[in-house]
Order: sequence, then structure tokens, then C-alpha cells
Amino acid sequence: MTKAKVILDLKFDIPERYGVELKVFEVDRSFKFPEGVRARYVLIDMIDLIPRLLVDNHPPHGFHVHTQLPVNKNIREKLHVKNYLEALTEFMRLSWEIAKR
Amino acid sequence: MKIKPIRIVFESFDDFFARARRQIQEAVETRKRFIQPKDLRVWSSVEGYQQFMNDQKYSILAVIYKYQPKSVYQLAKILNRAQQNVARDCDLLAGRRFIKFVSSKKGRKNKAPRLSFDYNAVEVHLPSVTYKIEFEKVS
Repeated sequence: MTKAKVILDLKFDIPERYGVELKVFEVDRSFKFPEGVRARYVLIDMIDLIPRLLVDNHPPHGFHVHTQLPVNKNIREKLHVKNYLEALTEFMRLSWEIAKR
Repeated sequence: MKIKPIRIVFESFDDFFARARRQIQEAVETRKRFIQPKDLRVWSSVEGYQQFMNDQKYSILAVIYKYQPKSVYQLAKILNRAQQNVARDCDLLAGRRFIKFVSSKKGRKNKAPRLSFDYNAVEVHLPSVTYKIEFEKVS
């Protein structure tokens, strides 16, 4: 297995509290990563320096969202999305809901 | 002296995600890499940035650049401000990746505030105008 290579790394600041980090890795195509892509989209509380929302696709879960960070890292909700782009759309929607509160 | 700024640009929430979407697709399809440069900060609103980055925070950056204080305590002394308030501002600046804390290898366990990379100005790209705030160097 070759090492994961970062192919996208973007950061975005949303005043006054949040920041977004989008990271996408190219990995070997496999049963675990059929698209050959590992994605990690995270919304960070920049004041308390804690993650608030995390969408990723590490095995064995496929695309899922951690909605109860940082209190409970083990609570995951499966995302019914086909690929990393749909996952990004869902992450954007959830982030917006949190950021506009 | 060569000016090495940290650049602040603005993009709406929707525009950022539209760009991210395009770039992710292109990165996966063509293997082209999209890595945000370390000197670039993308903010979603001008008002938000201006509220965040007040004169006191610019002063903190300038003093860190000029005096390289060994601790937040020393930084607060130079600024003549309460340490608690300076510490809070430093935490906010660190969260936004303007500064970082560096642990010293020996001596006390102070964390020295340092600029997140070697920059000496903040260049703010507003939609209609760009302005630059340069830090003074010790002569």
C-alpha cells in the first residue's frame, strides 16, 4: 500500500467563531476506498479550539458525520451520499446551520 | 527590506464551497494538487475580519516580530497590557493561524509566541482596495 498523498488542503475562516478545513488524500483504490479518495472535512470552533463537526470516510464506516464532537467522538451518523462531492455538499449544509446560529 | 506579507482575502461561504468542489473534483480527476499557500488566509466576511483584527492584535503581531518575546508574560509587559487579556488575544490569533506557540527546550516551561511563519506585514485584499500593514524591525 502506498502512502496517502494530500491532493487538496484548504482552510476557510468564518467569523467570529468557526474555521473550516478541507483535506483530501489520494490513496490506493481498494474495497475500503473504492474511489481512491480519503476525505476529511472539519468545522473547528476557533475560540475553544475544538472540532465541532467532522465528515470523513475512514473504514469501516464509509462517509459519516461526527455530530457530537468534542464530547463523544464515537457517535457517528452515516451519510447517505454517493461520493466525496455529495459529502462536501452535506458538510457545507451542516456547517452553515451551525455557523449561522 | 523585503516585504513578506501574510495575505488576507475574502470569499463568500457559497463561493468558497463552490471553489472547493471544483478543486476537489479536478484534484481527484487530474491528480493536480491544491494546497493553500501558508501565507494565505481566506475569510468569509470583511466585517468579521475587521472586528477580529483590531489594533491590539496588530500590535501583538508587530511586537512578536520585533522583540521575539520569550513568553506571553513578556509580551504583555512590552505592550503594557494585562497578561490575561494578551493571552486571550494570543489564543485567538493562534486559532486563526497568525501565530503559534513554541516550547523552549530548556529552562521554564514557557511557550514563546511566534509568528506562524516568517512574515513582516499583513496585506488585506478588500474587494475594492488592498492595504498593507508593515511591522517595524529593530534597528
